Amino acid sequence: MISYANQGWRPGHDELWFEISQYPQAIVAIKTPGGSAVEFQATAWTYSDDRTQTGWFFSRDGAYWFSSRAPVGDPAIIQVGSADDPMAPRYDVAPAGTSTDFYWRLADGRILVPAYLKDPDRSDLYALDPRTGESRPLGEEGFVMAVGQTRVLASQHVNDSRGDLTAIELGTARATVLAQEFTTSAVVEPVGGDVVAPGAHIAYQFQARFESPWDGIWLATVP
Amino acid sequence: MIAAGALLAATLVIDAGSVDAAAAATADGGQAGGSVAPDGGAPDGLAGDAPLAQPAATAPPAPATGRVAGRVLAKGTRAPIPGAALTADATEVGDTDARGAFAVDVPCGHRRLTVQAPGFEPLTTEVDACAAPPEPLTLRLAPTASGRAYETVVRAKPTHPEVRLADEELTQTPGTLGDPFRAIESLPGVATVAWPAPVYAVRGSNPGNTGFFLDGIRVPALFHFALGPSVIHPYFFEGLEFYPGGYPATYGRYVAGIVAAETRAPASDRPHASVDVRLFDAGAIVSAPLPGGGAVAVAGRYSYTAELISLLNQDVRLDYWDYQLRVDRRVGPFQLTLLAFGSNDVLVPGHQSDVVREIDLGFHRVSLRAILPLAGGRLQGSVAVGSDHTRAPILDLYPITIDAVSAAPRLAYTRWTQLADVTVGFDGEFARYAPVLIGDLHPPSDWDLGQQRDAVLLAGYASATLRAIPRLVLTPELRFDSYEVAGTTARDLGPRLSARVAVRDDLALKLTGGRFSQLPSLPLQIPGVDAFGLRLLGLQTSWQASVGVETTRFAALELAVTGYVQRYVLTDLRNPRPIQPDPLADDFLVRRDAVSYGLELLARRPLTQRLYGWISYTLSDNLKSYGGGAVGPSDWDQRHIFNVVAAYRWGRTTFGARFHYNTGRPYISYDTSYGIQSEYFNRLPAFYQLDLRVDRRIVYDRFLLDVYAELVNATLNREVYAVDQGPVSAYNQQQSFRVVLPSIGVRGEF
Repeated sequence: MISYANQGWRPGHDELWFEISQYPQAIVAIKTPGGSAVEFQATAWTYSDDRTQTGWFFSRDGAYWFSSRAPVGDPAIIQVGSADDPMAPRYDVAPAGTSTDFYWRLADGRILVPAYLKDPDRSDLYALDPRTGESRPLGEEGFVMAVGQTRVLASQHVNDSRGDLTAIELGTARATVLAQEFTTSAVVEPVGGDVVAPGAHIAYQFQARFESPWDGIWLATVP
Repeated sequence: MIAAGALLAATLVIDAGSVDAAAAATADGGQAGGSVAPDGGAPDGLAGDAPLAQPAATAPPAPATGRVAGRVLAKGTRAPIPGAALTADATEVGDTDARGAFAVDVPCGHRRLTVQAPGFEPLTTEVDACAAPPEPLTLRLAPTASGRAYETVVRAKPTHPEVRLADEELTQTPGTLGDPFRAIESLPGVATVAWPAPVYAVRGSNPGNTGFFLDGIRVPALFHFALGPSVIHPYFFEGLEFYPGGYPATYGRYVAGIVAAETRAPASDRPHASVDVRLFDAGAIVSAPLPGGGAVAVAGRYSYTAELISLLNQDVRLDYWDYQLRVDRRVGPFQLTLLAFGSNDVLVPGHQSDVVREIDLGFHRVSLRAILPLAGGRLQGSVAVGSDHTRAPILDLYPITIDAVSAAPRLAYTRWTQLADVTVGFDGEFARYAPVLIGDLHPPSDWDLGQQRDAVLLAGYASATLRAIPRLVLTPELRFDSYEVAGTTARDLGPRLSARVAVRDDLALKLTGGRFSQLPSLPLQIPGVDAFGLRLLGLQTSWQASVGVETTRFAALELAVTGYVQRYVLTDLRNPRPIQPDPLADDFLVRRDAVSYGLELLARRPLTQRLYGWISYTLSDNLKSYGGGAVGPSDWDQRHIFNVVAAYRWGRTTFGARFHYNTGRPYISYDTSYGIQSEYFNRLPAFYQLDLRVDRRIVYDRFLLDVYAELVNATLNREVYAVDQGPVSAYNQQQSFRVVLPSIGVRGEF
């Protein structure tokens, strides 16, 4: 039984990619106008760069594509590879055993990957260079609140929807905890086109697990 | 006259059975008891036979006195009784030597020879020292029934706040099922986290903040699974000291209390054996002298709880065992002691092949200790090597196995003078932890619980007990601890001071203060899960202070009242109500400030009394920071804890009872009515229980038989250990159990 699972035009290119799923294998075929189809064994995998999760197996600019190296039917092990050279090595976007639902493209070309064991709100954050496969841990057990040009605002060590409000410098992975343990939400003042600019104000809600005189809405500054 | 003497010689061979009966009767009736027989026993049929008449014409003239020799032994234990006084017709004729032997001159003729020793019923027998044949006698004294003999041990009144338990307090305290470590749950300052689990929180700290030591060796696990017994055989214990706080500088690496137990030196006089069979287990301890000096004791226990549980549920597999060995021997000037003990528990809660959920905990320790008299003092050195093995599931998903090996040297020199006792010492612990995790699910981080790591823990200490000023004993101490775990180092200097001021002969004030430190720890102690998280969490620390009054002015009552305050920095669960705890995540633990203050009362009637036991009461307030500026009661806070432990000796039967009451500890309720969950504290219901115990000792000539029965929580009270919250408070469901723990046992001691 053959079925066509994923298919689509590669953004910015005259290439039609489609996947022929034939349990337990899958084949990706690339067809260009007038050319013959190139086929290779792979499972294309939808991996979204926005949280609506209506994504695709290409990055938005068509430079990279995503696949799963897990056998068909098993939980996905998502990989990223160059769409220009589909046969080139592909790299795992998250550690083995974890799940990831979406990513962010960073200004420096890397992708920001949250990977979790059971709870998406307790994801570890990695900055992965899809060109080399180099992955750098940025944060732990939390979720991303905002991604800026040079900084990420995240809630880390999240327990019961509250965590450490943390600003992480993308270049150095240096993390600054702005409020410990009990930040429930935060809003950053946009500066220019950067949504987490150094010096920008952050309003955040703090609610301790038990009634505390510190409960309330506080203001901080992005370091 | 001569014929009468010959008659007496024959009637000295008394039927042992008849004397036993007489002894038993006298024991309960308060009259003289014991038995007498010539060494080697009497020829069968001789007792009560007609006397062998001697021809009067050939008999030599009777001397004025004759010699009677023999030994005086304790009935049942066969222990020699030194210093026993012998009288012949009320005239003192001598006493026994260190081996219980005697040889006394007694006037010829029909005399009443009486032997008396403290703690034993007097024994009277008739002798004629001049009658033939003069065989050595074996006189067996029955222990007194109205109060037992206690060796008087002269100990200086300690300056540290300690409670010492020994003898029946260790093995017969009602509610303990005969386990010495459980006896501490009736002492001041101790909260039982969730009875009947033997997990104790001392003065508002976490259970993992109190250390348990056996002969100075840290014991990683005290009890077997599933309400199993202690991992150390009860009769292996000599005594137990409990320090709820302010413990001496010879101990360290815990920020709350210390329980220090000592093992009993094996008897070197002759082989001994003790076998006990209980409803749920059987154990034995055997000791024997070694050729060339010294002695060895071996103990072990086997529980058939495992079989019972497995019979009830074939999907559950539970096994456990333990062993203990102690060898004492003098080699040259050194007194050497080899101690080995270990334990293993396996619990498979699901299907037998469910290896993921299997829990397997085990440890072994071997220690060699040497004591050397040196320069008017004593040098004591020891090294203990050990291994720990822990296998447990995490999140019901995958197992983690931790194997650890360790070596712990100790060296201390103590010198006693008229004015001061001075001790300087060193102790260390070198350990390697090798966790094996199925699936490397977390990124590399500073959280090292799941990583292979080495730990080097070193400490030096000095202690001086000064008696320069009359009525004041002062013990300043200093302990320096160095911790190195996985390349991270921390150091802590712990000054301590304890003092005892004798206001009057029967009234004293006690003061204690000091600083203590500990590596990060889990709230509950698990073997092999030690020495981690130093880089992320730093040391746990405490400052402790207490002031107490002790008095003996009330008849046969030792009364102590202590006020204390302890400030802690503890490692604790970041989420106090974790749905899916993940110990491998670097936010599993967090540092929290905590404070505990309270008042402890202990009124104790010593074992030498017919009615003995104690009353303890603890009034405390234990607070903890929960982060974000919020403060609440600590997890194990019980405002009132009250215990009455009493035992009454009636003849050779001891009736014991324990009443326990504690207010409920806090639990967390939550409310999601207004968006994000808000939480607040509630309290579990109070709990009280009544435990009953009866012991009956039957003394035979050559062995003892103890029969006992115990009913723990005899009134079948319900212990609520948690509350499951529903969507509205009306649906809250109390999690509880009603359990009565019966124990019936027989113990024979040879």
